[in-house]
Amino acid sequence: MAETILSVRNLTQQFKGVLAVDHIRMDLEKGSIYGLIGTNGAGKSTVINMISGSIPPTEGEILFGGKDIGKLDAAGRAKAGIARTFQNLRLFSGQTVLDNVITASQITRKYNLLEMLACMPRYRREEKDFSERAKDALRIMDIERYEDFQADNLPYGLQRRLEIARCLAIRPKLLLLDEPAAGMNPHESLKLVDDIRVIHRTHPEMTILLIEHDMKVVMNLCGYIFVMASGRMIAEGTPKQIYDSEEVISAYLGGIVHRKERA
Amino acid sequence: MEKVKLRNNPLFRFLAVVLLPLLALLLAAFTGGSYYESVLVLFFINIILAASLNLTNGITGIFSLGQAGFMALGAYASSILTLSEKTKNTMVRNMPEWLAKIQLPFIPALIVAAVFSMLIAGLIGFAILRARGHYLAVITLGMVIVIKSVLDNANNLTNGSRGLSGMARYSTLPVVVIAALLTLFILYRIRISAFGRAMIALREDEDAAASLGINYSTIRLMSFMISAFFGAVGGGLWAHLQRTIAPSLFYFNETFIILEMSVLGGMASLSGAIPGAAILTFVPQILANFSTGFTLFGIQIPQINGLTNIVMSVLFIVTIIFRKQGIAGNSEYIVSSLFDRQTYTGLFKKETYTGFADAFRRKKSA
Repeated sequence: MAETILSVRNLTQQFKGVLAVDHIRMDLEKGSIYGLIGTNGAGKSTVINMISGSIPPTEGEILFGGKDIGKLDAAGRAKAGIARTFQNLRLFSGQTVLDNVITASQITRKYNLLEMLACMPRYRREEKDFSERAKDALRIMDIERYEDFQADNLPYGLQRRLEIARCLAIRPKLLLLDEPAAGMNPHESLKLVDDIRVIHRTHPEMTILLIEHDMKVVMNLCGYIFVMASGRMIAEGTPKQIYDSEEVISAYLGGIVHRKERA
Repeated sequence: MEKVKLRNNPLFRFLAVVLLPLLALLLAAFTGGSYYESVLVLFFINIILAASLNLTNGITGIFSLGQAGFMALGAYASSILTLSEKTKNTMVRNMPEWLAKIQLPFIPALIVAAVFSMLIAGLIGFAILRARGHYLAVITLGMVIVIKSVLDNANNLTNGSRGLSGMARYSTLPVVVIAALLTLFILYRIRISAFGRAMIALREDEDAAASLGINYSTIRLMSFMISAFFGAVGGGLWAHLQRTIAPSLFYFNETFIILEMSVLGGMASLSGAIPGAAILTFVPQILANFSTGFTLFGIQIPQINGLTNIVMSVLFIVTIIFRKQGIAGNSEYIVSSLFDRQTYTGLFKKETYTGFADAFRRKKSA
């Protein structure tokens, strides 16, 4: 059995009386693709925000690689190896595609201000390394030919892929994708499924947690699925188990639907 | 043949970036010590001030109105350090003896003053940089007021509101040109390094920057301190141009002059400091001739008080309405053509240019 990379215990988020996330528990193993699904307002994004450090949890603990990361801020967690995308795109829109990604790959920076001003070997070596790693990430997401474009001039689907490329450039151990296929047309989301497969194949160590509405994407990609409804984890299991789970169906469709009717 | 933009034409680059400034310098050399030289010196000092403000306001997104405060710190600290013991003792009552005894050459004094201002900026920034946006702008304006009243009241250091005078005129043209080029060079190097990218990332999207491991407070503090450093360099040079300083000179008026240079030139671009400084230095000098009244087509125009302020404010408003990003926008064309190696398919041939060096050594590239 593979080792656990992330384990979440009793994670809770209370927004002024609204229990957005209610004592959930999650264990992610290294090197698999997980899905997190649920209706709107189920608390999926809040879970990702808490894991990535964007908002502090009200209660509960998050162990990443066996260490408690509750005290780290978002930047610290990124350095520890958690990368995320955002539900609504968060690119550095005025910058070029390549600069967007280099801003991520420079996470390994060791040189300081004086070394930079004196143009010491370490500065030059690291800068070269940043841009090489950025280009690698662009290549994986198949957008390297747009590297000189300004980010907000790219079509929407490519901007989504750029955001994923930016995450890859920090070489994360855990990649959190918050609705990567949102707003994509069917063709683009098929391409995205392929891309995530490629990422998974080229980074066998990386764990991916995917929030998605598009069941086709989730069922195709994920080896294991968590289902949330009104802040609680109502089911988890393999795609087959989820597909057959009556709790999930009732949460999604508001009542028990017989299998024949679904077919 | 592909159509080439004028700005990428090697001849144009050569003229604009190398020949014109050189001509200006030659002109100044012939008129050395005169009024024109002082105006040119002021121009280069203004470049330093505007570029240092662009680092915080345009690149990092810390909207600071406090540059006049750091300028004052630099001016006072460097003046106290370069004045002789005798001058200080006759001018300032009860100056601490150890401080009165110190007298440094100009350049070390300038550097010490800049470092001092940077450290003060570190202390202030630590406290105020957790605010953002308009709140921060107002706080930095408050900082200018605080610095002014400290200078006004620290009688035994600064001679209070009477100010300091008698500094030697160390800010000659060669000194300020080198200082301005060095400032632009260092700031540009920061801009294109990991630090600069982090600053821009924070400006564009704080949350996204944090998710990529960029530390909000460290980077902002760094930007604020570096900006204060160069602001103080500008202030120190300015003090040794004017040779007389008083706290009231580093107040709202100066703050907004620096801000206007920065906005007119283009806040997000270090290069913008150059056109911004040019407008705010030369236009008031030209207008000064007219404000005493003049004759136009036989019509006698009477004296107009504050003509400069009116024209500059209108210019400011027009810029904000029609070209918010300023003259240079966010392009680093001018500065990068000074310091970068770039290849252009010009009107003549494909050639690689490295700023100044290439004016004399044109290498053909394959």
